[in-house]
Amino acid sequence: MRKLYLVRALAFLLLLLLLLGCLQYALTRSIDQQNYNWLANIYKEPAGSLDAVYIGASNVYSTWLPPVAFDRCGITVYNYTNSSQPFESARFLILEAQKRHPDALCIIGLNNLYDGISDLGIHYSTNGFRPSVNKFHMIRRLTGSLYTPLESMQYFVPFLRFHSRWADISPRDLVFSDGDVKGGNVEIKYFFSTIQDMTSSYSYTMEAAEGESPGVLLELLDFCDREQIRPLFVASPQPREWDYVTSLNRDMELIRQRGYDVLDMMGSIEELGLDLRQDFYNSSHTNIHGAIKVTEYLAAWLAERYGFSDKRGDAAYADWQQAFENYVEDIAPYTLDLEYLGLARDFSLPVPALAVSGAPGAAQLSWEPVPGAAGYCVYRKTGDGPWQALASLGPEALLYEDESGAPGEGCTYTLVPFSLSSGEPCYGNFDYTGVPVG
Amino acid sequence: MSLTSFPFIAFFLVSLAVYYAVPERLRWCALFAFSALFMLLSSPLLPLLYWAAAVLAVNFCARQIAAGRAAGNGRRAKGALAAGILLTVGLLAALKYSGFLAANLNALLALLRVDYRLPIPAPASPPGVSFYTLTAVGYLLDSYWGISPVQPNLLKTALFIGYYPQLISGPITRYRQIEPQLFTPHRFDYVQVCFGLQRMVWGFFKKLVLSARLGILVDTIYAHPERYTGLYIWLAAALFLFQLYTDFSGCMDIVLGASECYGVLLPENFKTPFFSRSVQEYWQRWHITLGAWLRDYILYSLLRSRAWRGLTKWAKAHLGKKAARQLPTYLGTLCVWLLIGLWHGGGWQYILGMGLWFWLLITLSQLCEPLFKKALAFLKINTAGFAWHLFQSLRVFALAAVGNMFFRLQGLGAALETMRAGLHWNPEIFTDGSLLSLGLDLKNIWVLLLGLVLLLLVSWLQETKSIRQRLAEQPLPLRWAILLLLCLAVALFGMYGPEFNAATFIYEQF
Repeated sequence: MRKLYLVRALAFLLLLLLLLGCLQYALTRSIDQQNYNWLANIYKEPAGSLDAVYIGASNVYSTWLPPVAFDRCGITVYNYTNSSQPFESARFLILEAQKRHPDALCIIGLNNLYDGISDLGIHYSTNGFRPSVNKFHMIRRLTGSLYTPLESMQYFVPFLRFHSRWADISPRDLVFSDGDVKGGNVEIKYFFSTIQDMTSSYSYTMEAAEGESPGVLLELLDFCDREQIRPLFVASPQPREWDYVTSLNRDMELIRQRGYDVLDMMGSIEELGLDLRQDFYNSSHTNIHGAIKVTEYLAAWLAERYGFSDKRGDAAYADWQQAFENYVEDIAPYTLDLEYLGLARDFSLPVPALAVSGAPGAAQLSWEPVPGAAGYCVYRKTGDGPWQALASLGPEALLYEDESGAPGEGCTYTLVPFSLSSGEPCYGNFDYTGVPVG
Repeated sequence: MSLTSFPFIAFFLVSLAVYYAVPERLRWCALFAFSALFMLLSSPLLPLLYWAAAVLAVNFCARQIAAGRAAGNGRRAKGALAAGILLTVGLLAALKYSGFLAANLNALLALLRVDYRLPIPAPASPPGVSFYTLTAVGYLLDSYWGISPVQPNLLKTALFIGYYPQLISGPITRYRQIEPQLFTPHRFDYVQVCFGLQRMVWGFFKKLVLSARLGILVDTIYAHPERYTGLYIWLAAALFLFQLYTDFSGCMDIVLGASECYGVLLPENFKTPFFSRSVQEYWQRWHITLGAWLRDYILYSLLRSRAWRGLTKWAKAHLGKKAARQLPTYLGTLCVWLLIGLWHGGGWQYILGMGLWFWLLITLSQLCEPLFKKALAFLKINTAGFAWHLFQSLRVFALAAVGNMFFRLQGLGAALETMRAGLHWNPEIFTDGSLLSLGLDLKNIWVLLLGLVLLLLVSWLQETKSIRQRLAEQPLPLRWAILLLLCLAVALFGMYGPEFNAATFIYEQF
C-alpha cells in the first residue's frame, strides 16, 4: 500500500512538473526566450567549435551579429549575452563557457561596466545556465545585496518570473523555435527598426577620469590573473556623455596596465563608417545598420589578430552558413541587400536628397546630384516587406519614374549613390527610412 | 517570513521531511526546533526576547497555579494567575497600545491646554503577539479553573505558544485541545498529508490569485477617494470584504493545511461567513477562535462576576425582569466588542468600526426582533425560501462591508470622509469601461470573477460536506485533473515572484 502511495505521489508530481515545464516554455518565448537562448544554446554547439564567446549586455547583441561575422570572415564568435547583463556575471560566464569551449577566446564587453545589477538582469543572466555549482555561486553573487540566501534560490526557477506573462501567451509560443541564427538577435526588433540622430550626444575624448576604477572590474582582473585566462576587453562604439567616456578611458588604461588586450572602438566612429545620424538606436546601442558595420570591422580585426581560421565551406560548419541565410530573412525587411551581403562601401558619398511625388504605380523620384557619385541605385519597399532594387542609373540621371508599384499600396523609396573602384561599385550612404508615397 | 513566499514553502517542505525522518517520540522536538528557527528568520532578536519572557512567565505561573491548586492554596493560584495575565497582557499593551495611549493622552493634554506632550513610543513587536497573548491567557485561565492540564516542561510550553504554523495569524488554540496532538507521536499518514497539501494549495489560490487582485482594485480606489467617488467607494467596500476574507481565510487554509501535514489538527477559523443570515451568525463564522475566546474568557467571566450579578439585581429591582435580563448581557457584549475593536489595533477606527458598529447592529437586531417578526408576518414573507436567505446574506454582507471600511481606511476622519464621497450616483462606471482603469486589465478581471465564482461554489459545497472528502470520493483521473488545474492556476495566475510585490497578510500586523 505504501509503495502504491509513493508511486502515485511521484506520478502526480512528475505530471505537474511536466505541465509547468510546458507552461514555462510557452511563457519564455519571444524576448525572454531570446535571452534564454543566448546563454543556453552554447551548450548545443559542438564542443570546441567556437572561436570566441562575446560576453556583455544588450550593447553586445545589438552590435555583434555572429552569422554576419561568419559570412564575412568565417569565424565562429557566439553572443554570450543577455539584456541588462551585470558586469559581475562575466567571470561566471567565462567559467561556464570554458566547460564546453575551453579554447575559445573570451571577449568581454566593457560598455555595461557601470550599469549595476537589476532584477531583470539577474533573471536573464541565470535562466539559461544549466544547474551547477557555478550557477549557484553566480546567483549568490548577483543577489547577495538584494536577497537572503533562501530568497535568492527563487532564481533557480525561472517560472517564478515568467508566470506574470500568462496573458501574453499565443499559439505561436507553443511552436518550437525558428531557424538557428547562432546567437544573432532576431526578437528584439526595435534594434532593427529604430533610427535616432545621435550627433548632439557624441562627445569623444582621450581624457581619462580621476578616481578609482570600479571594484567589479578589479575583481574580474584578479580572477583572470588567478585563473590565467586571457580575455579581450572591447568597448563598442557609443555616442556617450563625457563622464562615461573619460571613465571608460581610465578603466581601459588600467586593463592595459594589467597586461590584457583592449579594443577601443569608442573613438573609431569614422573609421567604422558609422553615421551618427542614422546608425544608432540610442546612445548605448547601434541599430541593425550600425551593427553590420561594427560586425564587419570587428570580425576582420579578430580574424587577423587572433588568426582564427576561415571555416566557410567547411562541412562541419555548414550550420553556420545556414544560420546566415536564416538571419538574412530576419533582417531583410530592415536593410538593403548591399548591407547584409557585404558589398563594397564608400562612406564618403553622402545621403542624396530624394523627393518623391505622385502615387504608388505612378511615382516620380527626383534628387540633387551627389558629388563623386558614379551612379545611383533605386530601391523600393512595399508596406513592411523587404527592400527591392529597381534600377541602377548613371551619374547624369536625376529623375526616375516608377510605374511598377501596385496602385493603392503604400510604398517607400530610397536612393543609394555609388562610386566605382576597379570597375566595381562601392555603395555610399543612403536614407534608411526612405521617402514614402501614397 | 511570509506564508506565501518561496522561502516559507522551502522551509515547510524541509521541516516536514525532517519531522517524519526523526523518531516518533522526538517529533515534537523537531517542531519546536523549526518553530524557533522560524521565529529567528521572521523577527529581529529583541522582539523575540519579549516572546521568550512571555513563555517563561506563562510556564512559571502555570506551574504555580497547579501547585497552588494541588496544595489547596487558592490565594497562591490566584496570585500566579494574576501575575501571569499581568505580564503577558502588560507586554501586549506596552508593545501595541502604548503609542495609542500616548497619542490620546496628548490629545487630552491639548484639550486641557497643558503645554506638555508625551513621546509616542513605537516598539517592535514579536510576530503574532496579539494571537499568542490570547492563547497564553486562555491557557492560564483554563489551568486556574482546572479544566486544562498544566505543562511543566518549558520547551513544550514554548512550542504550544510558539507553534510556527499558527504563530503569525492564529488560530487561537486551547491547550486542552491541542496538547494531545502536539506531543503525541504521529505516524506518517499519506491521506492526511495529501489533505494538508491540498488545503495549502487552496489557500495559495485564495491569497495569491484572488486577494492580491482584489487588493489592487481596493488600493487604487482608496488611494484617491477624491477621484473615485460614488459607487466606486461602495464597490471598494464590497471588494475589500472579499479581499479580507480571501486573505485571512487563505492564510488559515495554508496554516491549517501545513499543520495537518504534521498531524496536528488546528481549530477552524472560518465557516463560509458570507452565507450568514444575521450579523451575529456572521461573527460565529468569521474569526471563530477569536469570538469563542472572548465569549469563553471575557463575556462569561464578566457575567459570572460579582459586579455583574449586582447589576442584575439592581436592574431587576429598578427596571423590571426583562431589563434585568438584557442590560447586563448588552453591557457584557459591549465590553467584548470594545475588546474586539481594540484587539484589531490601537486606533479609534478599529474600536468604532470593528467593535461598536457590530455591537450596535447585533444589539439593535435583538431589541427589534419582535418588531421584525410582526412585520414579516404582516407582509407575509416566506422566511424559509431561498430568496429570503439570499436577501439576509446580502444584507449581512453590506453591513459587514461598511464596518470594514473603518478597518481599511486609516483614521476615523478618513473613513467618514470616504463614506461622504460615496454619496454620489454614478452607475455608468459599470458600463463605460471605467473599471478597467483601476489597475487590472480585462483578462485579470475575468480571472478574478471566475475565481470568486469558484470560491462561492466551493463555500456552498462546504456547507454540507468537506470539499476534500468530496474530492477524495471522485475517480482518480477526475481528482487529479482538478488538483492539477488548481496547482497550475496558482502557479500561473498567482501574483507572486520578483515581478510582483505580493500583498502582505493583512492580519500579520496583529
